[in-house]
Amino acid sequence: MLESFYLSKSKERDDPVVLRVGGRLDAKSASHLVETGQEIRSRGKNLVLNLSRVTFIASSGVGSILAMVEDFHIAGLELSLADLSPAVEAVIKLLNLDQFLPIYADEPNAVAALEV
Amino acid sequence: MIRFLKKLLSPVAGFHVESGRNASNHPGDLMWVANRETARETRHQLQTGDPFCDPLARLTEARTRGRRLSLPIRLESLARIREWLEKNDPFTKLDAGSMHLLAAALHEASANIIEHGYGGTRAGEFELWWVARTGSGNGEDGRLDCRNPLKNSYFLILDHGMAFSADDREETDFMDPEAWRRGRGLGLDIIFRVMTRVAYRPATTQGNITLLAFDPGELTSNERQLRHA
Repeated sequence: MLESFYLSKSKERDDPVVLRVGGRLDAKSASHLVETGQEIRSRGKNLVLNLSRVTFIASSGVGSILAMVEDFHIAGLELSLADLSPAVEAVIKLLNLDQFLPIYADEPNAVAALEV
Repeated sequence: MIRFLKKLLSPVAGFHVESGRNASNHPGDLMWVANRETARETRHQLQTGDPFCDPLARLTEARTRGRRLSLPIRLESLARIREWLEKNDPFTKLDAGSMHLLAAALHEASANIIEHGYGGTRAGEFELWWVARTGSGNGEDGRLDCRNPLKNSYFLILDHGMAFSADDREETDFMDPEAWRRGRGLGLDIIFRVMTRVAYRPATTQGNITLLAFDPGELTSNERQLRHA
């Protein structure tokens, strides 16, 4: 059974905004993630990506996350990752990106670190 | 000198470059192997016992006793790879982390074929095979090493798209902000870090062949470094 990609966003007034991502994060779904991230960034909000429900992440998904982190940084904002699923954690650690990315064990800690 | 020769000979039909940890006596060296059925290749294979030297023999082996997964030429079909692994021994015995990484590497190798070999979604299919070999690595009797059935086995991907090879790849430098902004090119990093051996054999008489060897025992943090450089 194919896992469907989905995004679930926290309340609009929140900062940081929490985006819960689920399903397969591949080339097609990554573009939706990037678009949503751009919209949040354009409103000047920080972002927490909860990746606990991501069942598969392709290189395009990883690349999109890297680009989003960089874009938020350039905009003077922060983007953090929280509660990595085993699939995400395996690939992130394979690429040694855990040394570079802001990763939190759970969503509450990620949110607390970015709360304005 | 090696880079000059690579660029000179790469376009010549039938030549390819392979690199691998076990490909030569000097880890990290590039090994030149002719793709044609030449006497030199046969002698090389006999000398090294290197099964990756003879892609057409590997394809015959796959068709004889391998397990096949046919994949439509569209990225959406690649979700079937994980499903295929999860339904077939010995992959069902993999720990979760190894399964994620194996599925990811095979996904990336296949995605590259769809994107670069076929230019995107097309009618038709390409093939992913898994072939078990003996513990000795010569595959003569086809028996599995039951202690580690994945060892000395290999995956083979056969496609009929445009021929390409990843011999000019460079590992992504994550210290470079441009690499983050670009956000692309990580697929090969995944493939080469997960697989113990990768060999591109484009433009054979049967199509483009990609050979990949996987050993979950090699997936440790110390081993996750650039292989095949």
